[in-house]
Amino acid sequence: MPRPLCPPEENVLRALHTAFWDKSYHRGTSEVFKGTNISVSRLAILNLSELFRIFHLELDSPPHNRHVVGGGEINIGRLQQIARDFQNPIEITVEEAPTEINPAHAEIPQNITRGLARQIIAALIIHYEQTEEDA
Amino acid sequence: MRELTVEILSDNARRVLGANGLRRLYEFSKYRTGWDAGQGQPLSRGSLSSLEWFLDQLPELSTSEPSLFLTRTGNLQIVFEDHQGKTVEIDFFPDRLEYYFEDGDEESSLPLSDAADFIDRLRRPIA
Repeated sequence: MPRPLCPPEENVLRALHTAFWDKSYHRGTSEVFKGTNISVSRLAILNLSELFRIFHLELDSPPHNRHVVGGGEINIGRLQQIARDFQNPIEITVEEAPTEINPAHAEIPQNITRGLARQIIAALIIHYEQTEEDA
Repeated sequence: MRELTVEILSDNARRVLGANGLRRLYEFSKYRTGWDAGQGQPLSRGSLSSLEWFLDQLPELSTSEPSLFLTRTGNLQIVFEDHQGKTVEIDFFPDRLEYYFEDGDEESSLPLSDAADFIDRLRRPIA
């Protein structure tokens, strides 16, 4: 059974892992969005702080390593437009895929190339989580 | 990969990576199999060797202040902007390089043994 599609009006958040995002230079790798079944989370369901808590649960390696440095936000309609305007255009969908730990979880099933990933990354609104180090 | 210290890298490689890159490299060396929600492989020593060799050939890259990343396959990657502000990504495999130039949306790979022309190509816009 096909999964419900998230509407273009919604915004989604992609977790930014230290391995894929260099906070010092505010620079990321295409690995952030490259590939198939890219996980995102719907900001219509959970807010930033709730999602950061989940990202840490899923991606950190406790007790010593805190790998999530932030999140990249993008509007689904904008994401779809970037994919349509790309030189090798594709239709992107964002499909609901809630999990036990993350009811806001969704996936982008299409294959996102390195070049398209770079265009998407350039359009992200980056949210850094305030840490004790920053304070 | 355990007990990585920056002293194992050449002076050129350390200079290009800078303090930020070296700090990130040390952090990546501690990642175990399964990082990134089960998908990540640990840092490949062969990839580190390729990176070091490459940076030794191209010390001018330090002016571009490249960022160091670790891919899910356990390979190191550098990302920087060329003289036009366009992104360049280079992945370091034990035996080859994979690269992407935002300028022209060009993506390809080549064996390390054939990298001389590629390095010359990078050297021109950096200088």
